[in-house]
Amino acid sequence: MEDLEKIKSNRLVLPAVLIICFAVLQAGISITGPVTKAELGRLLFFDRILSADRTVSCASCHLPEYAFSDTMVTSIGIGKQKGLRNTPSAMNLNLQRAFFWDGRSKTIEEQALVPIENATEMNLPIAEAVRRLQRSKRYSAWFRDVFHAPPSRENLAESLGAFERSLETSDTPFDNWKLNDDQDAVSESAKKGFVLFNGKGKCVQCHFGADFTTNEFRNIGLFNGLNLNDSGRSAITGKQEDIGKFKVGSLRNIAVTAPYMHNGMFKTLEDVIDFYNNPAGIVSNAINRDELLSGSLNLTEGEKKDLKAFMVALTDKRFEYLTRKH
Amino acid sequence: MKISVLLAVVFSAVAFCNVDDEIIGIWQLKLPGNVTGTINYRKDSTFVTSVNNKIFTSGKYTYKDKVMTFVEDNGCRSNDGNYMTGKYRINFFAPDSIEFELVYDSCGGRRKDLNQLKLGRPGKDKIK
Repeated sequence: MEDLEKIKSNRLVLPAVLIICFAVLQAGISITGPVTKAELGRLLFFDRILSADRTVSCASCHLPEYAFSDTMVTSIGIGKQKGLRNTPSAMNLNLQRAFFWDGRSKTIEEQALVPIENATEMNLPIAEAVRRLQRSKRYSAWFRDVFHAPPSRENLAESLGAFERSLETSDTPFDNWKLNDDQDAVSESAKKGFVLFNGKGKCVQCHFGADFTTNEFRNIGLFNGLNLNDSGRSAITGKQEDIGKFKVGSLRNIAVTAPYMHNGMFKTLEDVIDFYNNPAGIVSNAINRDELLSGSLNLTEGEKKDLKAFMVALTDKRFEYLTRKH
Repeated sequence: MKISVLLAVVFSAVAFCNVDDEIIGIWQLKLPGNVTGTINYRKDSTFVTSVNNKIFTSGKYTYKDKVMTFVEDNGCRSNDGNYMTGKYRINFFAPDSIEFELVYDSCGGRRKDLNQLKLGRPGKDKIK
């Protein structure tokens, strides 16, 4: 009888092992463990071990399927708390010079640790996060393999930063059109939109560069000290002239990272274009608005569609399926 | 007689080589932070620049007697809305290594980036 029980339990082992292996492979985890800092960072990015009650990971707000942004106006963090600002995309950070809407972090590595400690996001002091990783046999082994050292604040930041640095996208219809001279890569409407973007729309004056951002801080007229009272960059610099300024965001994958702006107030690209077309018509009492946005652009409905078509053409191939509804 | 015929053939071949084609193709530079910039001068007088395989600028150029004149279709514009022309001498300090020398460019940001910029052909480690 005992032999029969042994045989039965042994028969269950192989299927159980196969199921576990399948689950591990589906999760994208290497059975042999991470080999690079970016691979280790990827594991950490998706792991809820980095939040106080183990319910939230970085990926809870930076959704991979939406270019690592969120679809909510502001994200929900630990204990179902609402964040204060819209979650920006964590993609295409390599060429940026400051991080967060107010630019409070100077490097990706510095930025990576902030949400972990933030009380409304993951609420876990870094020292405690490091202790957890050190107590974990898996993470201790992985950090040893990658860094030849136990988990620490520095290599936690480095691995998360390495993963975020790997999130670059450049396989878009627009890049294909320009770099490969493929005239069929974008629509005629998108081509007209490109001309508008650089001309009548004046978009290029802030959205210039490989990631369509000059990396500056600008006040586009979304601060009035009343219902729009996030003072942005000035809270970091203490300078009056920085009131209402926020980091100019990248436009890569913009079609899949709604809602828009630091407060998520614009739900669609059409809303954004309507705002830029007539900023004072949307926010009449803005304080310290940039002179670039002092008047109306007088865009026709056709021109607005063309501008949108151009922005949709900045979507990486991996997210193109999301733009089919545009 | 044979030598003079040979010399005539060589000189003729050189004369018919279009020296201005020397700029055609891709030029590259490596920057700190694992950044690679490229300029691709095409035969149809258009060019594109990229940073880490992402399109950066594009436009039209002419190249004659080692002077590059170009206008971008994005970026530098004057207050009256016209695109600003840039003019640079291209100094070849090796057949596959060039340096931009400012002749004229009213676009301050571009002037700062381009003047004395050195690039090489991809795959060659000539630029330090």
